[in-house]
Amino acid sequence: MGFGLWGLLLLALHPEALHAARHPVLLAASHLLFLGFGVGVLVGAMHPLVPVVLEAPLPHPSWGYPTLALWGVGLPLQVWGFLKAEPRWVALGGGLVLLGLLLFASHMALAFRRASRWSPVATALAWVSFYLGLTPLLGMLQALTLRMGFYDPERLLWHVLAGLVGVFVLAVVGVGHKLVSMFTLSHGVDESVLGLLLWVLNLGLLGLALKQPMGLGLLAVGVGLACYDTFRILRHRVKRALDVGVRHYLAGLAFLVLALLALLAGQTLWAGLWFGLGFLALIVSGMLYKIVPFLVWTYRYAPRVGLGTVPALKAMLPEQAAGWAGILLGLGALLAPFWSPAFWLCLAGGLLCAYALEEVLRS
Amino acid sequence: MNPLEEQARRLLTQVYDPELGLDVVNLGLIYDIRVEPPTAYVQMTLTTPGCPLHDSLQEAVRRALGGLPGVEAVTVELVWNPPWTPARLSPEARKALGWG
Repeated sequence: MGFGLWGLLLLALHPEALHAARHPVLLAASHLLFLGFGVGVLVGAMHPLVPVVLEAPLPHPSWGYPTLALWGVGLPLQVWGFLKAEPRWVALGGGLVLLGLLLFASHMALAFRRASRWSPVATALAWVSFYLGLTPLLGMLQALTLRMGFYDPERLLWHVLAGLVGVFVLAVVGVGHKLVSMFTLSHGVDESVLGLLLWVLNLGLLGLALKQPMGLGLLAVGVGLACYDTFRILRHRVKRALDVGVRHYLAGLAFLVLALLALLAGQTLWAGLWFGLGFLALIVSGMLYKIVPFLVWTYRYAPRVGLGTVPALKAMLPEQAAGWAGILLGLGALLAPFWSPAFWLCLAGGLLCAYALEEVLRS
Repeated sequence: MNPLEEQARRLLTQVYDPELGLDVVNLGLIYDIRVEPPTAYVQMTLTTPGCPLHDSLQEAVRRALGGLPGVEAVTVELVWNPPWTPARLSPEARKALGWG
């Protein structure tokens, strides 16, 4: 969360950075938002989620700590390197992050081998683990070749695609299928659309990396299938009211569609802002509103269930603050391509989201 | 159902699913209760296999029934067959979930 707020602050203070693709502030902010906020939450959430999906415990849960340390130390060094235009710090920080994520991907590979049940959700998480290793490898390749020769700017596209589509879109459609079904008590939705969607998105990713026009078409079909899958889940839900976390998820999906439309219209900057500040920030914050209360409840209240009254998860979250955080984030993201003060709205939303989660920790 | 089993069912209405805010009896998760002191046996399910509340709810059922007079050991069996369906919800639960 802290890395995400730092990234938003950088963009709010230096909106001019958006107009140069390799501006140091843009490189720093994008790594803080995607690698810091996005990957940090994803890797943290996968530790409790993967055993649920695979119905088998993680082989080495303690490996999460070195992963956290390598990522938590490496990322600020990498960001410092970008801001000060010091390739050595970028390489050192990026190298530490790479080691952390390779350790995580190896741990997940061992976990997947122990799976007692396989499903398209498990396949999605396996792909996400693969891309979590591949994306920093491609990034490091860029950093090293910039210093040692053989630099090819085209490879930046592979790094960006592996991270944005391979890690985030696949994670959201896979994790989202499982979590939104659980949160809405959806019943009787098979996983066939998710299975098809994984094929389509991976082929689309390959097509985009090879600069084939079909890649963008497949990506559009994949996004359409993701929306259809969510529609099916909601249509079969037993819990009628949509809570704040699920509403954030739906708003995030709407931003994914907007980002895709912007990409089809050739507006790469709009697409990037709607993807990062709209799709990713809303979906991740929405999932945090569900995951953090559950983890706190399990630690603090689960031992008392059956003996007396314990709070429901909904009562642990200040829902009004969470709702306003979503409105500010969404409004800020929508306006960011046209009105640079909108980054301050995003920052205010991020701070309100942090406040809501802090209240959960104190409940 | 003997009076102890009636009492066991009442005790299980204190075991809540924290996400839904509903107890395991009204959710229709309890398939069978047998109380023959000093033992008690509960057969139950969850709304979905691999539910993250797996351990918490099983342990909570064990704790709740530990308060029955004369009961020293509680066995909780988690089964997936027959699978849970929304048809098992009580009318109160359906109303609480917005379908009343």
